[in-house]
Amino acid sequence: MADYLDAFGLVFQGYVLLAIAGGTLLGLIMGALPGLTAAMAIALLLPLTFGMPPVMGIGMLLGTLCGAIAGGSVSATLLNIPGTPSSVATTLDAFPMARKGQAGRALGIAIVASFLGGIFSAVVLCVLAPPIAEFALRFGAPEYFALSIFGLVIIASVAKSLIKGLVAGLIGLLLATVGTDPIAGVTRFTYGNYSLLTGINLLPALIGLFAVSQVLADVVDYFKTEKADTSKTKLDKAAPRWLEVIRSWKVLFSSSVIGTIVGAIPGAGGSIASFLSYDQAKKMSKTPEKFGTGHPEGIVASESSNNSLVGGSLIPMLTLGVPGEAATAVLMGGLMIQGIRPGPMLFAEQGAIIYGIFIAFFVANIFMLMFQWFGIRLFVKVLQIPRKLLMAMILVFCVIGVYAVDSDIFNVYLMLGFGVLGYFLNKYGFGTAPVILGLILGPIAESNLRRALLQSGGDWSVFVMRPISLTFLAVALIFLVFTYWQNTRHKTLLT
Amino acid sequence: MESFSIRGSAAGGSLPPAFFPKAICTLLLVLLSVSLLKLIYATAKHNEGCQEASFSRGSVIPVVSWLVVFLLLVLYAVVLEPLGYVVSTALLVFSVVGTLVMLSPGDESGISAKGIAKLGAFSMIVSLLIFFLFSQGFGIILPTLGVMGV
Repeated sequence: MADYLDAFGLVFQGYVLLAIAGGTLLGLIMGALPGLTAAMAIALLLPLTFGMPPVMGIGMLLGTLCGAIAGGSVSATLLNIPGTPSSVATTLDAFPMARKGQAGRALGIAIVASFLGGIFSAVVLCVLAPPIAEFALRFGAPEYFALSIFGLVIIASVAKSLIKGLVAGLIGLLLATVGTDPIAGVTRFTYGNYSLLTGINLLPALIGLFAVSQVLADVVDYFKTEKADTSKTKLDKAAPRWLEVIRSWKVLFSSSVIGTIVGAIPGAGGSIASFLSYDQAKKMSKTPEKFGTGHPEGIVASESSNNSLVGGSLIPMLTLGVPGEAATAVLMGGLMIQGIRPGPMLFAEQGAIIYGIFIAFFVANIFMLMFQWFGIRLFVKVLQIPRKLLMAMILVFCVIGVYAVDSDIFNVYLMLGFGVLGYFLNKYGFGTAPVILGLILGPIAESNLRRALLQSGGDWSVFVMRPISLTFLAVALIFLVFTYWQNTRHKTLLT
Repeated sequence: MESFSIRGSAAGGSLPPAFFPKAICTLLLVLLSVSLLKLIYATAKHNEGCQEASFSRGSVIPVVSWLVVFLLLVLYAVVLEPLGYVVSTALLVFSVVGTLVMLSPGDESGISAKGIAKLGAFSMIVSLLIFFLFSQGFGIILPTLGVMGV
């Protein structure tokens, strides 16, 4: 309770609230623009948080994440193009409703469903995270090594092919070995470069993999896709539709539960949550034939689940240090740049910061509701910004952000290298999230592997003799086999 | 190969510093070999009765623009410190947008003296705004030419 009181003091300060509001607004704008993902939005704003206190910086990034996920509904409704992957299911009913001349109604439903889904998951986060973190305090070196392997396997399995996902994860792990070795102090792969002595800086990697690679992909797509035109879209009154959403309370509740659970499972992702919820809502409905024709319940299902996913995905990230998907991986990178290592010890040692993050998440959801309520016409205007100008400006922000770390131009070259790597990894279906996770988890995995072996006198059975470590490794193995079987079965069915 | 040259030995049952990179490289090699074999098999199967890919203007332009934008970024990194933030950023914005306009078939209307002047002004204003926002607002030190503070 004392931690919560301290946390209230940390959050309810003018500058902190302003930072959360600013992050939410920028997230909403970037989420509304097709092609700009939530992970990219967070990566771009990361450098701004350097000089901020932890709760202020992370609050701003959380606002960005909430805003970006909710903002995806704007282009999904008006253009039939999801702003973020988690809004794909929203297009199914929001766009048909907009075509009937009820775009404002569709957005009004999406606003309320996003808000209530986000608040639901924030409550679950506050209730579940502390006991999970308390349990994780029992972890020793073998458990942390096993947990790192578990996290990598889970996130690698989300890639289009299991082998490609694992390759991307291993690339991240290999890049994490650059710099000074954590136990013996020997330098590895530095080639005499002083900038690499402390390892690969996380910020150039994050911005390169999630922002530069995306802009490079957009440059290619620029000539293939038709230019979005919202100038002729007529918007009726876009006020929140509280009654309409609350009338669908069963769908709202089930979708929020699904979103939170899927979010808490590392690797599952937003589009899976919204499609699962949409499908469930359709099955529960007495009028399933209305789904896909502009049915409010379809929008409620998709939007409440993709926003409740955010709170769910924060549970494994904050308690165990295992991010669930790309955006949370970038958020975790932001925490680490702030000098905060997520995990159970954080709850024990810096409770006020953790509870401050919880409260900031609630506040971000409230700002998200207010901005969407009053500024929906602004987000519609945002869609009219020419893409070529946007791309050039994002590139400038990428460079300035990375250069700002320590005024080292080497970081800019590093970012460009990661940008090209990210572009090709995405193009060939490897994915970039496993690389970041490998970079984050690599030092944890290596130091705990070596520490565990040092404690056991070189006995490798220590990893299977301890029940928690064994459970993580067994679940990782089962997941590997299951994903491989599922992929093979899918291919067989296709042929 | 580089991982084999890492020095340092194991002590007290722990692993040497080279173990982790070596293990990762070995796993990577195995997985990439499997992936390559699968790709060769799939390509061989796909090529039966398949016609060769043709090159058209539509397929070359995205590749050219990608290369140009990437080279502009590298050039930007090279000139950022010698030319200062404002000038180099204005040049980057101008050249990236200019490249996309020139290569895009639907955007020819932008190529006029008026259009170029507008883009030049936009690039300079954006560059100055970002410079003052970051240097004054966030206290971030950016490279300058030393002329009038920019």
